[in-house]
Amino acid sequence: MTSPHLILVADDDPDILQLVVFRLQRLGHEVLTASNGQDALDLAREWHPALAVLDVSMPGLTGYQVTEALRSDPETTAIRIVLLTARVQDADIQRGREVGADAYMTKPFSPQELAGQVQELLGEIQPVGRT
Amino acid sequence: MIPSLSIPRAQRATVGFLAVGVVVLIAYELTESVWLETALVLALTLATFVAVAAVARRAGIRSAWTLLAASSALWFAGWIRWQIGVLQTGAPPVSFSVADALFMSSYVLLVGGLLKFVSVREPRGGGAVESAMIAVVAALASWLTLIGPALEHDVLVGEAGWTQAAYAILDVLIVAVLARALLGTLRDTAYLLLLGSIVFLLAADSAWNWLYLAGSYSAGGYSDLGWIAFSILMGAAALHPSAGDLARPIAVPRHNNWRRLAVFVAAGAALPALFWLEFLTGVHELDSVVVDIGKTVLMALVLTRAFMLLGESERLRLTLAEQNTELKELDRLKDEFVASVSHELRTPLTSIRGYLELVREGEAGELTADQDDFLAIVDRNAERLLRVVGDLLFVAQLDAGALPLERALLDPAQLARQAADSARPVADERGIKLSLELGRLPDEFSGDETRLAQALDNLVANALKFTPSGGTVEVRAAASNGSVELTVADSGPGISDRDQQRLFQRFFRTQEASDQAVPGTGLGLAITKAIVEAHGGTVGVSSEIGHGTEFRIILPTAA
Repeated sequence: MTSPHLILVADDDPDILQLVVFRLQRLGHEVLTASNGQDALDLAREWHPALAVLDVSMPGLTGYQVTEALRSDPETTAIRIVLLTARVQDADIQRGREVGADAYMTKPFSPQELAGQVQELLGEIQPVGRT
Repeated sequence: MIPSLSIPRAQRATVGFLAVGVVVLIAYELTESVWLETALVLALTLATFVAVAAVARRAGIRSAWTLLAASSALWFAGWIRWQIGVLQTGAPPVSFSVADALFMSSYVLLVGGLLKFVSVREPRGGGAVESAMIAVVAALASWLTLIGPALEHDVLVGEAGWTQAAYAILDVLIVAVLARALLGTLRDTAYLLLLGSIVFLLAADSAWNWLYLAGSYSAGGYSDLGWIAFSILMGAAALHPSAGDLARPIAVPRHNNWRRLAVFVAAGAALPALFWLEFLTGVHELDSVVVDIGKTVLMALVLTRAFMLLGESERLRLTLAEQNTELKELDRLKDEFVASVSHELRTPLTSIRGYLELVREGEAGELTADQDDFLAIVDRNAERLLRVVGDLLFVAQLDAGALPLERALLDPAQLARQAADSARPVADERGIKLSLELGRLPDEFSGDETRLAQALDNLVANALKFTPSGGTVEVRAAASNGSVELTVADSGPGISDRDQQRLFQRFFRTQEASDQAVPGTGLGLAITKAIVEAHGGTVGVSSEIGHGTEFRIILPTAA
């Protein structure tokens, strides 16, 4: 088991949210949850998680917008970001790259793959402790 | 043996009437007997009336045929009076006679009948202005050759002159309506016969009028033949099976705009031509008030039509611009729809597959072997559903526009190897020998790796699906002048020639595939074809029932 990190998960679909949370908790991480973009942004600014798993299509702010906001703020720019989306058009994937996400996973994704992706991203950065 | 004439039963009456008509024509011309001529003309015009009246009865009292029937009756009556004169004095009755009154009434009804045909057949047909142009030119020609000379005739004074002029004027009216009909949709044999009959009537009238003014007309001569031909064709038209259809609107009118344009251009050129004719010849006989009025009217008609054409083109331009905007909006809505359907289908599938994975990993307690087997089936089907969703969205994207390619340099051997490797587990499971054969290949070529892999995977997956256990599937890659050939050959049951032609159509599935419930949407090959063609390549199939199937993708390497 790796060292625990604080991870933010945001998805407006409670089932998927629970699925991701369960998987990440099993890896030993601490998880913050949000069901819309604004909450996700507020939590990220308050808690500075090591990584954020964001759904693209959320009410209020989209995952793209949250990513852009986090990247433009020096306080939060280091947060690793994984975008989850059911949008598979090439233009959407392109958009994901442009806003600066570290990884882009299309739904349906395998929770195991997501876990692998998260661990890989976390292994690359220095663990960020809770503030 | 009599050679069998293959005339359809329904058309025998028409053909018979025409044949008898030709005999009448010849007999009328050859005989010296006035009595025989009288008998022939009256019998023929009566027969024509009967034929036309019969159609009118079938087509209804309000149909155009009723007007033509009345016209034919008056025409027949006119001939009776005319022939009485010929029998008594050797010449037609002197104008203005009862015969003239009957004939002229017959013409008026004929014009009415034709107008009704035109308006019923094509209620919104164009060509009114063009037919007016033709009528004006005909009127000018008639004025110069028939009407004018008749009114200023030395011998034919008073009533006689006016009578000749009146016939010529009625003929101009007939020309106007005939022109209108000829500019419309020309179909139905009966209609063509009818219009043909009018042409003969006009020709005979003009010849008779001309000869009469010259004082050289004699009854029973060549010029009468046009009138007889008029009756013959009219009767034949009435007897034709299509006669009843003439009084009904044409479902799909074929507007011949070229014919109308030709008239427009000719009318526009007529005035300058007339001017230069006068200028070059020095003849100014055309200078009369009537001719000047004719020229002015013609010019007004040409200008009117020109304005109408400009208006039409402007309206069309606006309509097109409007439609263009609508199409763009529709395109946008479609993209939006595809994106939202994609989202709505993929989100629940995420939960289904995600939680299945957790359960099967034992996160919710140990599973029995049976439970795990059953959940594996659920998972397999969820995956199948996902593939179908993916295929459908791919096709929807294709419809929305061209397939975007992310070209990069890729290794053709690697492409073939990966297709074979990823299919190997399924092949092993199904007991099929999957082999890979790599020929001499270029190191790399330009293409979209993900798409091409998808195209090739579809072919391999198909081959595995349709090949029975113990069979073989072979993936081959080879190069040949400027292209890479990727072949997937199987030892399956083969595909019939008929099915091969439809194989690449969307949603097409062979009867065998449906009968045996081989899973699939019928989209795989359509997708493969779209991907290959987006690369400028081709995909083809060769197969024989019982001898396997071979699909071949040919991709140009010099892209």
